[in-house]
Parts: sequence; C-alpha cells; structure tokens
Amino acid sequence: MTNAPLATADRRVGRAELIRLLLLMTAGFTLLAMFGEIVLMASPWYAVLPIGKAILLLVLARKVAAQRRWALMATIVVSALGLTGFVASSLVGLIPQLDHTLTLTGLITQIALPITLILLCAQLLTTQQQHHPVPEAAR
Amino acid sequence: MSPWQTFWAGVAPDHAAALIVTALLPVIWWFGRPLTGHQPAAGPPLPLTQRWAIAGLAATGILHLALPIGHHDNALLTLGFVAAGAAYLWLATRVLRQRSWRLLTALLVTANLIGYLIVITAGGEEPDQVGILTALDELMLFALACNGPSTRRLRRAAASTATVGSVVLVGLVIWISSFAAHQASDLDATLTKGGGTSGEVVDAPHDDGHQHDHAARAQAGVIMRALADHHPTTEQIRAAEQLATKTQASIARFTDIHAAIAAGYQPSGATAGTEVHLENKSFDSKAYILDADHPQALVYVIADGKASLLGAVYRMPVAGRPGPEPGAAITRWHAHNICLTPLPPGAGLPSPFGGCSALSIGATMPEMMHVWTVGNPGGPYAESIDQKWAYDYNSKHGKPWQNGS
Repeated sequence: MTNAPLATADRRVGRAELIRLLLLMTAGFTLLAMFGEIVLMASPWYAVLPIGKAILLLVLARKVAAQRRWALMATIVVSALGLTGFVASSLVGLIPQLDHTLTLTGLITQIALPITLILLCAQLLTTQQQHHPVPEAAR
Repeated sequence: MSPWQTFWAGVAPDHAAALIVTALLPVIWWFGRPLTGHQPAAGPPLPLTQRWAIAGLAATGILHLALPIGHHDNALLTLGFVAAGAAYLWLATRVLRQRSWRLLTALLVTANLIGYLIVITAGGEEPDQVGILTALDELMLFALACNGPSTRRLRRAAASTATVGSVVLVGLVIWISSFAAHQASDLDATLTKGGGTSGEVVDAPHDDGHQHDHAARAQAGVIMRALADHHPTTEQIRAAEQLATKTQASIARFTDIHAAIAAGYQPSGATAGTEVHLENKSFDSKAYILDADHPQALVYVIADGKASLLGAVYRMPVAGRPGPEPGAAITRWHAHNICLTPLPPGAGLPSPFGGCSALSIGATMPEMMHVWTVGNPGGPYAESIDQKWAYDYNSKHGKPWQNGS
C-alpha cells in the first residue's frame, strides 16, 4: 500500500478524515469516562447521557466525513461545550472547599483536542464557502 | 499543593526527561531545518492524516528513545525502548517517503500497547501521565493506521469500531491497574504491627525501588503528593504509631454508631457496606486539623442489622492545602478528583485520559487521610480495608443498627 500525495482539491477530504478520527477517539473517551460514574453511583442511569453523547459523536464523525456543513457546525458546538466544561471546572476550583486538577492527559483531551476540532472544522467550513460544496460521493 | 505541583506529581521522575525531550521536539525541528538543508517539498503536500501520522510517529519515537535517560532499567528493557523508538522513527520516514506504513504501524502500536498494559497490570510500573500520554499517542496512531483510504462501508465500520474500542479497552486496563496499585500501597503495614494499635515500632525498610513510590500518578480519582523521602525516621514511625493509638483511644466513644450520631456525625453517601462515612461538618476548620479528638469523619461497616466502627478520616478544611505528615511517608494524605454531573445528579471519576463524562465538571476535594483503628490487616494508614475482613469483623463485634434508628 503506497500513499500518493493528494491534489490540492482533495485537501478537504484529508481534513474531514482527520476530524472523523478525532471524533471517534472523543467518543471512546466519553464511553470510558462513563464507567467512572457507573461504578461510583452504582446505577445504570448514569450511562444514558454518555451513550447518547457517544452516539452523537459517531453520527457527527460519519457526517463530517461526508463534509456536511451542519455536522461541522455541530462538531464546533460540541467541542465548544467541552471547553466550557473545562472553564467551569476551573471556576469551581476557586471555591475554597474544591480545587481543580490539571493533568497532562487532561491538557491534551480537554483543551488541545476540542480546540483542534474547532480549528479544523472552521477551516473546512471556510474552504467550503470558497469552493463549491463537495458531493457526498467524494468521501 | 499548587496546580503546578499537582501537575508534576503525575509525572514519574524517571519519565520526566523523556517528556521534556519530546516537548522540545518541535523546537529542535524548527531550528534544525536550516542546519539540515531542509527544502520545502516540490510536489503537492501530503494529506493531513499522514502529516499527523509523521508527527505522532516522530513524537512517540523520540519519547521511547529518551526513556532510558531516566529509567535506569535492565539492558533488555533499555534495548526494547531504543528498538521501539527507532522503529517508530523509521515508520515516520516511510510515511514521508510515501511508502506503506499502516500495517506495520498498527502491529507495532498493538505490540507496544500490550507490552505496556502487561507491565502495569503486573505491577512492574505504576501508570503515570507520561505513560498514559504515550498510550494516547499510540492510540491515535492506531486510529490513523486502521482508518485508511478505503471506501468499503464494512471496512470503515470495522476500523471505526476498532478505534473506539481500543480507546475504551486500553483506558479501562490503565484505570484498573492504577487503582490496583493504589490499593496495594501498603507501606504503613510494613512499618507498624498489629494495625498500628500495639505501639510497636519496627525498623525502617530498605530501599527497593518502585515499591514505595506509589503516587497515584494516573490522577484518575486519586491525587497524591510526591514523596520527598521514602524512608521515615524512627521518630516519624513512632509519631505515626502515636497518632494511630491516640485516634483509636479518642474515637472509642463512637464504637456504638448511635453515639456518633448523637455527637453530630451524619451519614454522607452510602448507608450500607464497608465504607459508610459519617461526617461532622463543624470540624472542617483550621482549629481541628489532624485533631484526634475532632476527626472530620468516622468510617463504619454496616451490614445485616449491625454496625461497627472501623476508623476515622482526617480531612483538610481547604482544598489544595497539604496536610501535616507527622509520620512522613507513613501518614500520607490523598485527595479525590471527581466529576460532578447534573443528569442525573451525582458524581463520577475522571478517566486516566483526563476526562469526565458528558456534561460533567471536574473538581478536587480537600486532602484526607484514613486511620483504621480496628486492626486493619493493611495497617492503620492503608487506603482501604479488605471487605471480607470488615464484614467478618462486623459479624463478630457489630452493634445493633436498623434503618437509621
């Protein structure tokens, strides 16, 4: 298997494919974190929201690969929500009885990953506006 | 403990050099370009996924090559790190030269991840932030390798499933290994006999490497400060024994759970099982830090209509402030980082990959320390108590307790 360099017209496909992969990994992170709630609260009800989010991310991954505009915008919203959660955690840490722990992996998955997704989606949306929309079959 | 100290507490000292070298990689690359006569590629640029693969392979390769700087392991493991690092860098050049790389990358990543998981589950190494970060990078490489340009629907679905599944599986094993290492950190048991209630002091242990270095570095539910010194002095061992003895004498008045409730202790969380905590919020004050007469919480085992006092919990009034350690490495404090979730209201634990569940926010509680006063086989300062032992103890010594009455 060899990797032929893509023509500039197909750069968007590569970008969309990367967003898809990052969304798949985010879905994995969400499902993993779900176990932390289920174990601590000992109730299956705590699986509902994470599974719902994971399904949403999987749908977005599929639709982003097809370069759907709504999927790109929804990915930006979901990623921004994740960043908001991180900011909220930092603010909660200002309460004397609580603290906020910043970890190396948290930096990657809670800050770098959503920012990267937002930037990639924004770039793709921008290039879509500059060119004709790519047909669904292009993926 | 400042956020910076907490951040570095997650990095094992023997992995710090590798992390720094890897973090400097982009800087080295940027400044090294003129020296190597780097010329921009003449043809069209590689797809973004392949450029990410090059970056990921290079970062993982450099990290593996740099691991022996601080690791000081046996020659075989050092050779393994160097070989893996070289293999990753070789694969990076293959991507750059547009040669096949996906299958080899997937195989190398799988072998490396399996090796890492075996090491941490066997107790050879505690999962730390650098190890987990490397696993994250390798999981991304696995995703890039598996999700090729195929347009076959079934193949893409299988690759997507493998991507999500590998993240969950690797994360779960790291998580379980981290908690297993935390539970097994029984330094105090080697230093005190009879559950810390006999007052008998034994010799300080000899240095045996990682055994005493547990610091919950996965930071996935438990946060601990790094130890300044793993070897407590005889005075510190004696101080730890005295604290355990004093605590036991003080809370003996709460052997009957009714007495604790009458004194203002209220259940918080579970009301049955081996770790039922009764808290007295009025003792969350600077005036009562490590005060044996005013412990912030009591721990009971409650089962079969009986309740038994197991020990006390000391808790700092403010989060982020280190608790005093009269017994040094024996009397170690820990904090819990949790995820607060609104739907439904509750709490969870952050995963080893640093994330909370959907719509949750993270928070870290004040430092706390358990002191078991009933001869816990793990010692008076163990992180937890063996459930079977606690239930057996309760069946023999428990006092009647029915539905909160």
